[in-house]
Amino acid sequence: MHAGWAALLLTLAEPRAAPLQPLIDAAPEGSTLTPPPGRYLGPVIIDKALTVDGRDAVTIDGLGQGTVVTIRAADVTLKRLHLTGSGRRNDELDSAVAVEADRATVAHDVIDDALFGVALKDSSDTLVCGNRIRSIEEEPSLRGDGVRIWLGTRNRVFGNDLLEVRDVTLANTHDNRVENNRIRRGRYGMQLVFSPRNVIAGNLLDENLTGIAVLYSEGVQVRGNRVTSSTGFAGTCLAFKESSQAMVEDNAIVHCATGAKTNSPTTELSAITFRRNLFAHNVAGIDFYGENGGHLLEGNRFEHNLSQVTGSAAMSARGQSWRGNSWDDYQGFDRDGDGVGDTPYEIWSFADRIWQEEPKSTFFRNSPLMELIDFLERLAPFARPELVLRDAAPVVRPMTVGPAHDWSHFEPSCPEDR
Amino acid sequence: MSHLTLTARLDVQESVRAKWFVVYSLIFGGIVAAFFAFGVTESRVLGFMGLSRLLVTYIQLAMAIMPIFILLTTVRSVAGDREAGVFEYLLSLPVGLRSWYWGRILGRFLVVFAPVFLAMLAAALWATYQGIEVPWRMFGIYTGLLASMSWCFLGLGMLISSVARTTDVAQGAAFILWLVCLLFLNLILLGVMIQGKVPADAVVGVALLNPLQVFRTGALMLFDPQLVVFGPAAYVIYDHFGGPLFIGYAMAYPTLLGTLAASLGYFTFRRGDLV
Repeated sequence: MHAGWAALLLTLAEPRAAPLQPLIDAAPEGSTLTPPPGRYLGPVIIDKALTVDGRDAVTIDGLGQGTVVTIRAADVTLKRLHLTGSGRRNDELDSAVAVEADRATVAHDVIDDALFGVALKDSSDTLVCGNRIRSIEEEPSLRGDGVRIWLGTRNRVFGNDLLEVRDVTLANTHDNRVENNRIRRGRYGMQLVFSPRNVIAGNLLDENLTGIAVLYSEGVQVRGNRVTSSTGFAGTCLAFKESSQAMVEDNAIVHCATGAKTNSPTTELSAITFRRNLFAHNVAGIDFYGENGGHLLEGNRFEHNLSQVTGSAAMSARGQSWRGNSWDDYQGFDRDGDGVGDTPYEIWSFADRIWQEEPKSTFFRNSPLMELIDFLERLAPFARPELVLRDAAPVVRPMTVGPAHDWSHFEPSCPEDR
Repeated sequence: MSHLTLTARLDVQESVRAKWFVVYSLIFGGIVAAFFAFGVTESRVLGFMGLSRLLVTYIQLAMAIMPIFILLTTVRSVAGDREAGVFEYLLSLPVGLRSWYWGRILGRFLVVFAPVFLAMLAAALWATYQGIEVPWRMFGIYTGLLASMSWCFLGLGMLISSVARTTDVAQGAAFILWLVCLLFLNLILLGVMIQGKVPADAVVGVALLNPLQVFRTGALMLFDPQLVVFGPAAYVIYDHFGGPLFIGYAMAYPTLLGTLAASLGYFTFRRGDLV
């Protein structure tokens, strides 16, 4: 049975369900409305400053039509509500909450069975925090975004728990902060498109098809996140495309097909910096697919990656600036005890070139045969091997890198809860 | 006690009495188990354990060591007894050929696999004692994969042993079989795949008729469920199998192949001259 019909039948069977709009209309501007516990019907449009507090006992149901709550005035707060049953139209951005004004707060709400969770349209200084957001039961690309920010600035997305939504999207928006969220089993955990100077910090992204994707966006800061288990064939923890001046610091990038995939920044002067990140258990730690360099990699730890670094061409990785990284496969000594290896860390491409140039043959990668060919190539090369990268001062002392944040007891929260 | 179990018991006793065999068993079993234990425990980062270069190396070593050990110890069985004149005595004893042959296989399987299994179990218990959470599902499937690979090469070894007239020929044939499965077949397939004249599906299909490749793929799948490490070839496996089905195949196919080879060896042995 169609979800909309089911909801309608449920509504008919439950006589107390009534539209919430009359209560909204009757509430004075600037007041706090606390509806009696129960289930109310949407859609709701709020066009004056108002706080609606559900105290965890109020459900607003859109019955599968359009957007459940639309905020059209500044200084509106929606908190402790259960919002459910949005429409299913992607072109209309059918959402649990649509914010079309500034300084809104959407806090501690539970959102489910909604195509989009919270959609900000040209909204600034809005806070979306402490919510539990889940989309409709569909393939990842057919769901809606858990949180979507389009235009606007200085918004904050904090401490939300997003499960099985499509993406968290920032499009054509700048100077927002996305912090301390947990985002799991989505398509893009987070994607930034034409969105400069945003801060992505302290988030946990797990089992998304892609962790964080930064496209055509300058000056983005990605700090202290843990991005794990993007394990599809194209799964990437962190992706940069045509973006520059990004700062990627203190992240743990673990168990993805590719840890970070990045192409050269738009100009040589606007480097992307990777500092103190942990790259572990990825099939490829970092993959470069631009030939113009433009990355600074300093103090990162590479551990248990099948390939530490790969590139679309040999010079892709060689052209970057490598300084003081720690490599678990470094074969050298530190006789002077200064914590830095006596000889440079180098990766040379021998038999690896076979599967890098003929991707189908990756099937035999790391098999005893390929290992033997690689060994023979190193022993007596038939062709001149390519230098993939050289780190002149590899660190050999134990390094603590990655995020300091602990997500083991994650609970949705707002900044004032801390 | 039936003749089958008596023969199996005799084989176990003979094997255990031979000190070189005990040493071999302990070393090989210990290595395989130690690889599993260290591979799993040393590959942890932030409480996470997944595929790593270390584990891949250990899987490679297991797939290289186990088959050659089993083949070299098994191929001496029938051919060695024939050379030593054991069958002349057999004709005067009330033991059927079927009981003798299958009893030898059963006993040999126990002798070959028990050290590996016990060492694996010891490794798991050691990890528990160290406070490391043992991935029991992974342990169970990996042990199952080792068992089916052991049975497969045991069957192939018995077939070679039945067909070959002397232990020298048998050992040579076993060594060639091992090289083909481990290296030569893959070398040919790699060449064919690079040339691109044969569809990748067909190449992967042929590769997956090789029990060693099946073991490798199954073992990798434990740590890399989507086989990302295989690149585009993973699609071929997932299109035709899917994950759980492949693990089933990885256990069933080598077992079936081993049983088939052992049966063929039995018929050859039964119809051939005993002396």
